[in-house]
Amino acid sequence: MSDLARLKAALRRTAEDGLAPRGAEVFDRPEDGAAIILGHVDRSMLGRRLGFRFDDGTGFDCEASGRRLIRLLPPEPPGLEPAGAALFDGAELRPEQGDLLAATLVTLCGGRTSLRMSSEPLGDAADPSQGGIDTSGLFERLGQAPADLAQGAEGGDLDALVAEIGGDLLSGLLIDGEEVTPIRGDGEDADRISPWAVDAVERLLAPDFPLAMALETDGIMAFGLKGSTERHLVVAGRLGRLLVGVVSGADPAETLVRWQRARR
Amino acid sequence: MTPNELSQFRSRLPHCELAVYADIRSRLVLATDGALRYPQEYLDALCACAAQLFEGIPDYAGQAVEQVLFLGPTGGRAFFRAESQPDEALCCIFGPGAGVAELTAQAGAALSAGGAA
Repeated sequence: MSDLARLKAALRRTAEDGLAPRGAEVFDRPEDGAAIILGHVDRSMLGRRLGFRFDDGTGFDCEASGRRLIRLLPPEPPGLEPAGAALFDGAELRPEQGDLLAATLVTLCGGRTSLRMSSEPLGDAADPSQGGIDTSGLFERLGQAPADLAQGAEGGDLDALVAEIGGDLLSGLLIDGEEVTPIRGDGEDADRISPWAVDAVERLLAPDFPLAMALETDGIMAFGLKGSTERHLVVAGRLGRLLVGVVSGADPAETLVRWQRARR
Repeated sequence: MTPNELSQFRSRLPHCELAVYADIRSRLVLATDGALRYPQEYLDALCACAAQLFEGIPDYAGQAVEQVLFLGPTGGRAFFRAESQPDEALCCIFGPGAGVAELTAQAGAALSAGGAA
């Protein structure tokens, strides 16, 4: 990797931690600009307030959660027809407003060539758990696909990870929203993993934990235990689905290698 | 771990972009070595992240978490609690091509050497 590429990669990771402003994202057509906006919504599993600023200084804020655009926040940006401007009233968006929303995003990107996105977590009280408009339908209205998330959108990577760990997965839980599925739920580890998972996931997905979004969207975290030669712990996320597990062996690095293999 | 020891540790790991040695109890960065000059707020955030992990993640079967490895598509973070100084931790940011096993081995060696010094 060249020094320049290394620098760019380091800056990108810094931006992902929310500690540096993201660079401008350039688009040729208004539809492409709208797709960039939806792409950021599509990567927002946890509740986030997203801000978009165009190259001419105009912009807007919105709330996103669970890959859905929940609401557009006032004030509305200039240049919109009354119907489109009315969407920026802070009320929860409804599915029947999808066509108007997609058209409004395209209108907003018209005559503009780039945008910058900023992101901050929503507090617990404001974190919407449902409602809004799913991004998949909005992408369809734009005639585009969320290419970077299409593969594994059903959480297949976690199933591949479970298969890769194989019999070394002593016990685990697959968490998909409010649905929790035990994996190999026998023995003392099966009794211990659930309470540990409750406490650990609450902290790892807390709005103020900087790796929460990356972990829940597409990441793995492995925990080595002091003095343990028998087991370590793992939390892996893929598009809102989580695997929490106890893995045989003391080396958490080995589980990260398995995660990499499962993605190939 | 001294700044010199931290620098030597990172020099053995070409994909390690930043190494920070920190007191997680006081959230104080004690030493840092990076491929870039990172702003203090970024170092503080990494230190706070280590504190959230080591102070917030519960024990399992009476065993405390002493090492946390995070990996995503664009790279990862590693946090190692110093055995001889449980309030101190080595924190690393590494790129996607890093050998995590080598990183953990080097971290263990560096912390042992630092503790013995």
